[in-house]
Amino acid sequence: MRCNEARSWFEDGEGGLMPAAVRDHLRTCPACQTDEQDWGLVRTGFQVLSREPGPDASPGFVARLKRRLAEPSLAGRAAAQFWDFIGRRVILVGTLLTLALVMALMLPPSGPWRSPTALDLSLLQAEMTAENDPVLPDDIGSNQGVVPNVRAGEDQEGR
Amino acid sequence: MADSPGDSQELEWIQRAQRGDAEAFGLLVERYQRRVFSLAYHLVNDHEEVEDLAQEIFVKAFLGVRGYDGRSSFATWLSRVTVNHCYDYLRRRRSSRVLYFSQMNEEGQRKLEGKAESPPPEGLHVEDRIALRDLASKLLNRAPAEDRVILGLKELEELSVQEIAEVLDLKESTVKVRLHRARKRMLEDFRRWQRGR
Repeated sequence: MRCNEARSWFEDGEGGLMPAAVRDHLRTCPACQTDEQDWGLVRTGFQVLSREPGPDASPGFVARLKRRLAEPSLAGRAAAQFWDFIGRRVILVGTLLTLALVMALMLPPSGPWRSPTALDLSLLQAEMTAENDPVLPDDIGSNQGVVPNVRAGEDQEGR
Repeated sequence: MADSPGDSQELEWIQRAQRGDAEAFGLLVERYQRRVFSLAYHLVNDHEEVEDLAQEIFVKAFLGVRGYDGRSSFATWLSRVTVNHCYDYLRRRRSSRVLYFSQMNEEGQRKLEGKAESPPPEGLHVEDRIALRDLASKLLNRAPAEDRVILGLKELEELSVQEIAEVLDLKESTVKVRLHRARKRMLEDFRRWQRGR
């Protein structure tokens, strides 16, 4: 038997006859033997203490307590504790909502913390559509300065 | 230790107390005052203080009864309030505590000396029992508050490890480890005293 097994018997054991294995261990282990003897003394003292009746409540204890519980200050304290309990949660939720709103307003419209919004997507789509659109006659008018130069270059190569 | 949580009358008293009904709480006090007095006495070991402590414990329980959710029995919940309050009290008192063995009279010391050198007693004489009671009491008074609470619950209230775990809201394995350490420290203290005589 190991020391901790023997110790758990004499520390936690409910008394009764000591098992032979524990007795054999104690015979060969002076440290456990000393612990068993010393703990036996202390435990006997505990047993005497545990059988001592605690003091009884003095006459009128419950009546005095009920009067104290009914005092307005204590009733107010109970109510205050309740509202404190509720109030703390309201403040916490309010703070979190405000923080979320502030973050939503301060963060850029897209980025690692925020996915593109519907507006971002529609702008992107419009941009892509504009790039793929064929050149309209009206646009040619606005690019007149470029086109003749290209043609001029073709004319020069042709010559 | 746990009373039946299904006690419908008790449940009604608890619900009324949770709405602030002091009369209903008074009925709970009548039912549990002996338990609270006994537990507080075993934890603080001071006759003079127990009634004041019990009153504070019941006031605290009344103020906190809204937080009782019925997951454990009311008796266990009230024991938890008692243990926490006594633990705080012991910690506060620890700084002003007077050392034990200087207080013990010579007769008690002589008897203990004899007992400490002999095997665990069977059928002790009255005076030996008083000396050992004094020893255990003073060792408890010297112990740190957490050791005192856990040893008080185990050795004086004679609760099982499972019941202690429920009251202290700890795992059973944690309770076993803490009990073992508390006993070890108490034995070391006992031997320090023996060496110092």
